[in-house]
Order: sequence, then C-alpha cells, then structure tokens
Amino acid sequence: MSSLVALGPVTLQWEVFAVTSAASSGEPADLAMSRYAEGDDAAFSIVHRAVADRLRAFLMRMARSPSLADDLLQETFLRIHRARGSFDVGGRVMPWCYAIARNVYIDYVRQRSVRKERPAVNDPEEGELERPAGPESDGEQVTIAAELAARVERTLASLPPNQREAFVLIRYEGLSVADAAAIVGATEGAVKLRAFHAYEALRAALGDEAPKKRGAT
Amino acid sequence: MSQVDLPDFSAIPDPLAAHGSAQTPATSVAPAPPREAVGPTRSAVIRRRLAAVALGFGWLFLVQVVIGLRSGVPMWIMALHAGVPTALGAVALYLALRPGKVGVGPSARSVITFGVIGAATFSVAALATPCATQTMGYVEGSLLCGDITVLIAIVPLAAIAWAQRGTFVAGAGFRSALLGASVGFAAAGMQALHCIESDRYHVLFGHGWPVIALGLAAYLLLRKKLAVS
Repeated sequence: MSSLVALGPVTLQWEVFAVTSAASSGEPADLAMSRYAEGDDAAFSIVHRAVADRLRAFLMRMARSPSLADDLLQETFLRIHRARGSFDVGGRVMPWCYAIARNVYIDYVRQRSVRKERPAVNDPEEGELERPAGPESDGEQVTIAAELAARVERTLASLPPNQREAFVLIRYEGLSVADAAAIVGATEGAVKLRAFHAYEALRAALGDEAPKKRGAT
Repeated sequence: MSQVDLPDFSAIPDPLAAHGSAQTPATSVAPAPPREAVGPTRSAVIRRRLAAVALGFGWLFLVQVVIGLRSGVPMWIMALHAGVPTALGAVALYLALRPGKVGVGPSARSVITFGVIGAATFSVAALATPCATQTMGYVEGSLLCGDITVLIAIVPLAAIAWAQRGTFVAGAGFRSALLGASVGFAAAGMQALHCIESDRYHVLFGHGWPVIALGLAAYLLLRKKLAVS
C-alpha cells in the first residue's frame, strides 16, 4: 500500500498496462495473482478483471441460470480470497480459478441434492436461457440457431455433471485436455472419455442438423 | 487447441453465444472482500507448512528416543525396513504438496503411478529380507505393530492437516490420501527401527496396513477440511 502512495502515477500506469495485457495474453494476470497471494491487495483488481467474465460464463454453462451463476461467482471470489496463499509461484490463474469455481458448483449441487431441491420448472431463470435476437440477425437463421442452441442446452443439462464439465471446459472454455484433467482431478484419458460421451449425446440430439466445420478438432 | 480429435467437435453450438450473457461483464469493478474473508498469504502458508513438517519430524524423533531401537537385527535389514518407507513418505509428501504443471496440484496419473510403484517398492523391500525373528503370531503381531504405527502417525498427520487446511483447490481427495499415506510411511519407518519382529510377512502386512488405513482415513476425514471452501 505504501508503494502505491509513493509511486502514485507510475503505479496507475502499470495497472492500466497490466489490465490491458491481462485481457490479451493472460500472463500479467498470473503475475498479479502471485502478487495478491503475497499480500499485495491492489493486484486483486487485475485478477478480477481478467477472470470474472470467463468464470461467470463457465458457471452459466454449468448452472444454466444467470442469477444462480452470479451467486456462485460471488462464492467463487470469496474462496479465491480465502485460498490466495495456496496459489503457487509460477501457477496459472485461470485453471486455478476454474478449479475453485467447479468446487463451488459441485458443493451447490450436493447441498441441493441433500435438501432434495429441484430446479423450479416455472422459474425462467432456472430453465432454458432466454435468447434475444441481435439487431443484425436474420429471422430464419436466428430461429434455427436458437432451436439448435436450445437442443444443445437440454442435452447438456441431461448429462451427468462430470461429462458436462469435461465438455464445457474443453469445447466452450477452450482448455486443453491436460488442463481440464488437472482441474477436475482425473486422468487425461478419463476426461477425454467423458467429453466423448457428451459429444456422442450431443451429436445424437442434433442429428442431421449438427453444424459442420471443416478441419474442426 | 482442444486435443480432442473428433469430427465437428468445435462445431457443436454454444448455447451462451446466442444468449449474449457470456459477453456481459460480471461486474465492472472488483468488490472489496470483507477483511475476515481474506486468507493468509503464500509466505504464511509456507511457514505453516514448514512448522508442521518440523513438528512431525520432531515428534517421530521423540517417539524413537522414548521407545528405543531394536537389537539383534543386521543393520542393513533395519536400514532397508526403515529407509524405504521413510523415502516413500517423503515422495508422497512432495507429491501431495507440489503445485503441478498448472498450479492446481499433481496430475491423477502421477498419483496413480506413485501408488503402484510405492506399493511395489514397499513390498519388495519387505519380502527381500531373510526371515530373521518371529516371536508372535502374524495376526496379533500385525495388529500390535499397526496400532502403534497409527498412534505414532496421529500427531504429524494432525500437524500437516492444520497447516494445509483450506489450500487444496483440486484433487483434495487424493491429495489428502497422499498426506495420510506419507505420514503412515514415515511412522512405519520409525516403527521398523523399534519392532522386534523382522519377519518379511510381518513387515509387509503389519507395517503396511497402517499406511493404507491412514491414507483412507485422511481421504474420508480430511478432504473437506483441506479443500478450498
């Protein structure tokens, strides 16, 4: 804190640079988390800006409810604060945060199953996600895309959580199989298999309407 | 790069892409956490960990001084029966605490590899020695030695569990089991310096079951305490 006061404008410039870079490369976010782990509280804002949106998107995909995802995101950040001392030198902040967010979601699912709660069917926030059409959208294409997305979402929701998380982490969050395996605490083979089962279920659900992409891996 | 070689894997549509919520910023500014919610710094966690390891070793040394060394057994057998489990305990401790490639802990593959190689090494070290003395029956001897080993291990296990509370972000189950096995191995090594039995099957089962039991107990009892929560 004292260095912040002493170096005022210089520190501010560094923070602006770090935030800009954090969004593009991610490496400064790792350094910022490392600084936060060592007690530099000012570095947390850089970490927050770098990870918040991706964590929210991940939790949205897992929980399928914007309000629930926001609650889980808050809990995730609380745990990040509590666990900052366990962030190791040279660690990568994104997989570390995903692992915490995943645990938060699993704890939520366990608590819900203990209380024997079910998602409220009539709750628009807990059902299918609402899909507003963009201003530049073509009517028919939007309808088809929305129908496909709804089918994907229903199928994902019907999958076991371990298959869903494997698929979401690899396909939508763009993680490597090795990173996803480290996050879920399983072997790479097991994670690949789970993602494959999810992929098979989604292919079956989409049928002939599954979009094709040349050279996709 | 997903490394998943499936046709059209990346063409499966993203439900969130159409929703637009993925692009919505979660919050524009980082909320300030309540001071009591902020955990210790990394330096504090490392200091805690070193203190726990020192306390564990101190305890094992103290126990050894109190219960004494056995006699009448060739030195190389004692060294083998004590050295191999202690070395395995050190490897298990290192594995449980290492950050791994991405900073969330060791990979499941390395843990499984250690489980197989560790069990094989311990078994070979126990079975490779000649049957020197056997004064008790297998069952009663194994239960007695095992009970003492578990009792020896409780203090170091409690110390390392205290030091590592709330720090495992991933794999808390198998990392807890590794910590339990680590302490079990170290205690089995200490017990081998004292135990009057040096029969190969006694060493294998009597000094081996506490390692498994402590690993299992740590998995069942400590994983929630050690996980980030």
